[in-house]
Amino acid sequence: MENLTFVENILIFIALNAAALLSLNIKKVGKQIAYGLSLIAAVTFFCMLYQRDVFTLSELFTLDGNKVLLLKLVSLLNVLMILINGWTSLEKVRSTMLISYMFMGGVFLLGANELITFYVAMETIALVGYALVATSDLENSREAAVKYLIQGSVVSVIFLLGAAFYLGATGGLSLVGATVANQELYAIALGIFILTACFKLGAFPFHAWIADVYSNVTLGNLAVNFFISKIIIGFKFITLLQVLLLECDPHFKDILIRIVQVIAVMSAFYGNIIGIVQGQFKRIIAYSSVAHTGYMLMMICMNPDELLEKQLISYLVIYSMTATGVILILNQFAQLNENKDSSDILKSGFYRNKGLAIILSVCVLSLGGIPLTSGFAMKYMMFTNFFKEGFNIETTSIFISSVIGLAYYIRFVSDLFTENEEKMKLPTIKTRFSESLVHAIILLSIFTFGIAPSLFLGLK
Amino acid sequence: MDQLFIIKFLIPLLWAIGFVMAPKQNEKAIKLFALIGSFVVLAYSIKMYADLPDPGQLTELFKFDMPLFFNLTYTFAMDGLSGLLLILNAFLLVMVVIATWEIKTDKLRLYYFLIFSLIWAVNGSLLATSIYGFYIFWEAMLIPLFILVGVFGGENRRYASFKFFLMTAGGSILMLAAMCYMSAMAYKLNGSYDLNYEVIKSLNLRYSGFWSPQSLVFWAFSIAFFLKVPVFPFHSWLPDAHVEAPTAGSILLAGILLKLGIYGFLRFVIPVYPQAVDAYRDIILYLGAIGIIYGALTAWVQKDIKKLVAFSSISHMGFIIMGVFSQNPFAVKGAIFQMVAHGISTPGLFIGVHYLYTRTHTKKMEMYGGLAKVMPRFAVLFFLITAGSMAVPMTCGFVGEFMVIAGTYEINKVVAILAATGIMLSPIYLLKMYHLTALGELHHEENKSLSDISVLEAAPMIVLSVLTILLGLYPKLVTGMFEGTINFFTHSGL
Repeated sequence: MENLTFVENILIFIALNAAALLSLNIKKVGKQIAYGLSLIAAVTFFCMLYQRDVFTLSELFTLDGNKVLLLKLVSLLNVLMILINGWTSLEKVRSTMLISYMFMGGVFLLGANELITFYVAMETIALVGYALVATSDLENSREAAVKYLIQGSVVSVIFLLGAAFYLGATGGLSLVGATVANQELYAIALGIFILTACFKLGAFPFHAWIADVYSNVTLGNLAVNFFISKIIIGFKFITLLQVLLLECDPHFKDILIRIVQVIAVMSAFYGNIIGIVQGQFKRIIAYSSVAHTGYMLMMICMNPDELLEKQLISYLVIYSMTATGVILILNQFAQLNENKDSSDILKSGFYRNKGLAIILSVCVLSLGGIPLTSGFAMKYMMFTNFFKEGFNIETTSIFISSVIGLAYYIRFVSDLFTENEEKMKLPTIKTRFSESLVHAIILLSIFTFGIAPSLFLGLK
Repeated sequence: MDQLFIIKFLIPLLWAIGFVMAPKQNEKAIKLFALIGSFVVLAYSIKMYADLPDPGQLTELFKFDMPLFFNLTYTFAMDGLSGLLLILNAFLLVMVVIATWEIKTDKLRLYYFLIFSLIWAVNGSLLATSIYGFYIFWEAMLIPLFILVGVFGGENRRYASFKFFLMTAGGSILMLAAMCYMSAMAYKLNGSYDLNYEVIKSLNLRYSGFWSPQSLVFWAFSIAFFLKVPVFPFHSWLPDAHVEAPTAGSILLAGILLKLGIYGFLRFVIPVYPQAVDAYRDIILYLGAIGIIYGALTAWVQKDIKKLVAFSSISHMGFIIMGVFSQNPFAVKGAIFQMVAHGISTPGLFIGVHYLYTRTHTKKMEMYGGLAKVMPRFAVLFFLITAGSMAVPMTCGFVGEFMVIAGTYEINKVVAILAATGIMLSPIYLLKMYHLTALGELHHEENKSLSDISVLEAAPMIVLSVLTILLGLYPKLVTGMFEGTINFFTHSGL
């Protein structure tokens, strides 16, 4: 493997997944073979990442520094997600393969150095996203997928328009070392890229798809959305916009930064306020995600810096892992309830599986930013950075919004410890080994990042 | 530095973990383990105070660098004030264990685990002198109490625990915002996020009106502490929490947790933001006075005895906040004394309410009446504690409230006069409570067969009654413990 080039590794990854897809047609053992092949592909790719620190295809594609670090983390999460998905049903194996393709899109997005590669990679992720929603087999999945597809397509077209403006402004599509000839066009292009980022990440007011999609997708697929869409798209857009804003005329830059800040604060407030009144826990997660996108977007307003990149990675990974943990545990609780989406599935959860209830409480408290959890360390790091940059009003506003957000996080914990006779009669929740493994990893990461954040990713 | 500090400090936590591993079936052994633990905690708290070379100065007990946590330094230190509250905390633990000895629950291990964890977190807050350490323990306190109320509380425990957690944690987030802001400033200044006293002082946060940094940071901290105390109008969680909390929760909440808000002001606000304190002193004094009157009037109209005690707490805490912000040394001393006095009388009232409730299964005062006839021992002890709470001369309540009013009078006469009306109101509602409970005819048939409190049950009430009188007659026993620190809390102690 050491002698294989990056391209060969990618091809192996694609070939194994294609073989997995084909082997689904084999009777009886088809899904096991497909699952095995997908798993091998993911593990092989993960191992490949440790061979070198830089992967370059051409000027169009480079993976280096923090991008490789991020990819290693996402790749590990990908392997874990495949493990937890299991091979018990055809749907799960199918979504495992879709995840692999989404992951591939993520790899290309991360390394993209020019707008066409960027666009193709982004669309690959989006297409798989539509498919994951559509194949979720829930009551309104297809309707949600169509809505998502239509809105996504409109944004894709707008992004292409932005690319055209960018071409007009810089005379090329390269994202590295471009010389800006026309500042007006450049500012319009950046504005459109910001809009695309807001849509893809689900920021207010471009969040219309997020609640529908989240509530009509299976929890496993929802988890995937977190660790691939949020982490990779979030990281790529934020770091890219940071760099592109450097070349922007100060006047336009100021306007664009102001717009981002307004969107960030509005997202934080909107997500947290609307999250409280939701009845379905998937929708609560959706709006919590809108709020967290707000926190994240503020990073666009800061100057690019390697340390900041590491901090962004740590925030994205930790947030996504914790949210994934919440989703996976909710999934376990939901399975034995009649209405799987109802927000009362957690009632008396503590009496049905103490371990799971405690892990879920820890995850939720971490998302709420309680000290000694990763959520606190990340929040502290991020907000201190914002204050350092002088964004005092914006940061204070986001802080205030997070007070509102605490309400729905605490509701989860409160439900778990509520004694509800009807719910207590439900059978004890069993946990598979792979699920326990993932829980252990998430718990470990929450506490290690919470207690020793500086140990990772150069945080000081 | 105390080499054994960490071991001493971790004792309540280790004890809490011990409950997790204790055998579930042997209730008596678990209770005995809790009792021993409570006395151990009390003993080492007293020893730690006794070992202080000078209670008037902060003595560093332990310091450790956290290179892995943003390169911060955690310092644990103690002076007369923190030592006093540490002892009060441990003392209340003993009271809780004894007063709830007969508790019937199938989650006994969880119950004691939560109580000991809570005590540990309170100790951590009292000893931390870096803002981060304080904040971490401050937040850590919320979780055990949240679960204690949520699991062992009354009918509406879910709502009460939710509201308590949300409001206090919400306040904490504002404190965190202020900390992040100061950290960012510290980083610009020193290249480090650390926020110990020296660093905070070197930040020199500018004060030039409401929107200036010192003012905003002051209010962020103050709102967090107002919510904890709680000061009117930030009090709405307290009556619910008290009413729904199990007795242990109510005792610890009233006895020590509310005082943490005041302690926060004394340790991290008053010495650090002198200009803002001066600028907003009158506003806070008025809030304190309003709290005194509002709490008293609201207590007056309550029919639920626990709610009455809860509102009386709001009234009493008004005196403390007033004394602390008057910045008059006599009043500050009185306020700190009142913290201890309230930490004795209100837990005593809650213990009394617990005994009433376990016998009558109601908290409605109209369902009591004439209980002195069937529970004379209880009636006498309950009266002594009630007298302490209503600030009868020669009881601890009187000393603190008198000192606060006298000291505040020198600063703001109107506020002092308003507060004095509180002293007049407290006998009204507390005597009404006592009258409806113990005096009069024994109207309710079912109450005629009530048994008086046992010797074990009487023990905590006897101790609290004795302290009520003793501290009323000889307040120096407490004031002498923290006297040297007053200067730190009245002037810019840094």
